[in-house]
Amino acid sequence: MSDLSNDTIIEFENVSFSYNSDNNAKDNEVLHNINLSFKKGELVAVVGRNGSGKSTLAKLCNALYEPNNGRVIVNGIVSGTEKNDEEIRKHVGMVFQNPDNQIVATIVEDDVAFGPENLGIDPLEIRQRVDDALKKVGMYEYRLEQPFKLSGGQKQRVAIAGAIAMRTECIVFDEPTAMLDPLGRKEVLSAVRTLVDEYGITVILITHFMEEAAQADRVIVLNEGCVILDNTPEKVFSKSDLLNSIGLDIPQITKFCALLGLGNSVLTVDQAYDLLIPVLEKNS
Amino acid sequence: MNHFVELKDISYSYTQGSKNRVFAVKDVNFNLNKGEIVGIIGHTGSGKSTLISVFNGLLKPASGSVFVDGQDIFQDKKTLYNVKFKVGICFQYPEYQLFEETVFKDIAFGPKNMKLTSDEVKQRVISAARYCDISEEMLNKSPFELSGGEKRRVAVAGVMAMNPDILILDEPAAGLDPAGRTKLIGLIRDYNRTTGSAVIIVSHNMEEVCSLCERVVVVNKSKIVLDSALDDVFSHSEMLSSIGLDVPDVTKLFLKLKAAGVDLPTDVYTPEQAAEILKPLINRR
Repeated sequence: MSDLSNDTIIEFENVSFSYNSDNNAKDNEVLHNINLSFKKGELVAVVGRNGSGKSTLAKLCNALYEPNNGRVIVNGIVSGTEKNDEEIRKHVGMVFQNPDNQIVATIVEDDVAFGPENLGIDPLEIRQRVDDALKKVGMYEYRLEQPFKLSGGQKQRVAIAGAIAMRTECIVFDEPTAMLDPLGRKEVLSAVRTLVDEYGITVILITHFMEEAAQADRVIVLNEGCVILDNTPEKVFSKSDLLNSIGLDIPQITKFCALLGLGNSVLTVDQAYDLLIPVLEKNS
Repeated sequence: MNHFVELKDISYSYTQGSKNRVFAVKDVNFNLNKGEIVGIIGHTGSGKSTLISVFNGLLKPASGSVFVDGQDIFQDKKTLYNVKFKVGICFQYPEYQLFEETVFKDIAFGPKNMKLTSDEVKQRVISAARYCDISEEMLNKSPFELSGGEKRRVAVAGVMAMNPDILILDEPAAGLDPAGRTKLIGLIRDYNRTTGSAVIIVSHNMEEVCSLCERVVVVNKSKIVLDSALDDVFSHSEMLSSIGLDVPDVTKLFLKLKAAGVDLPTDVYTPEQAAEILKPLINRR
């Protein structure tokens, strides 16, 4: 066991990664010397352009990839050996972008049971976990449906339930809403928020949507394999020039409020509304 | 005056002949002229994709008729075959459909099937590659060596290479990062201006449609509920938001302020416009 303080769930220590490991040239590196720690119960968004290293970072979190240099430590377990990696994947689950690529069974509840079944868990316990997981994502009524009949947002929620049924403490989402319509996005995001707020699950959310990142507790900005910002969404999105220079947007509302001189850390419609209502009513 | 495309009273059902027939598209009328750039917006299941599949005869409507270039596309097999070259559709996530050994061959697939000479095919590939900012070096690569954004552009080029009179793109920018989105949107706009081909963009994303299209068609529950010039669309913000479309955040804010009794227009969709309107209201203390 390591000496990490026990509120840390995942720790990156000087992590570098390259897809081309036989050729150790530095220019092939996708991530350079990353140091990060994720705290239990946090909702952390990771943003960055295509090719910035976001998905690689995600896959290092649950030992799908091994770092070339440095260490990834999950709950005190260092990734890199078969035994440790297997253990890490029980702690950290993943949900990918395309809902159709990660559903394996023909009935919703069978799909959710797939993970725990592979862990060799007692059938009665599995039953309980599946029901519980489906309730947490609001899909319990659909437990006997065929997955192909569900909408994209519903399928993603089934995939999330699959991760919860493994009793993972942390779920890494790799652009879970990229293929969904606005309604599906809302459903998945609110399921994610529930996981964090009500069940204390740690969530790492990789996204291209700045409005989604604005709802996180913390935002990490990656550019060309390096962490260039790591702070609250208010602080991160106040750096609009820096973000624009690396090809990222800031939320519309943040931009609007900055133009109006209402500060550069307003993130949501509701916050802007609360700021505007008193100043506007005085005038009428 | 005839329009280049005319859909007359189109209805289509995926459960043809069953007792409880559900229509994916019902009594739709739509016209399109060359050179137009139109956004079709609506949420999942509204009938958008069904509608575009009717445009080039991939789906045959249960009733109604489709005219392209003055001809009923279902009149005979030959017309139905040829309309595929006049109306090019690029479906969602087209990068999964790349299959050739090289990018060049992949883009050449469409024009080859048009029985053009190999010189003509080459010309087509080169000009389509130019529209999509695909370098000569990239043409010789395998599609699988490219990034997601590059693959997407290759797939779009493959449709452009057929020189369609109408280019239809279903969610062209979905899943791309902000810079990739902006780039693709710019390329599509240039293509429309340079070639004079009509372009139809199907999207969930209101901001994307606004940044590109001059005319916006809103589909809801199998019907066209709005077909208007861009400037006019957001005067219907309340309706758009009531049918679950994701109006831009500043539009949402203005709707909310208006509901609270502040006298504001609701046809606002950019932060700049919105700030311009509110500034005088705030500074007057």
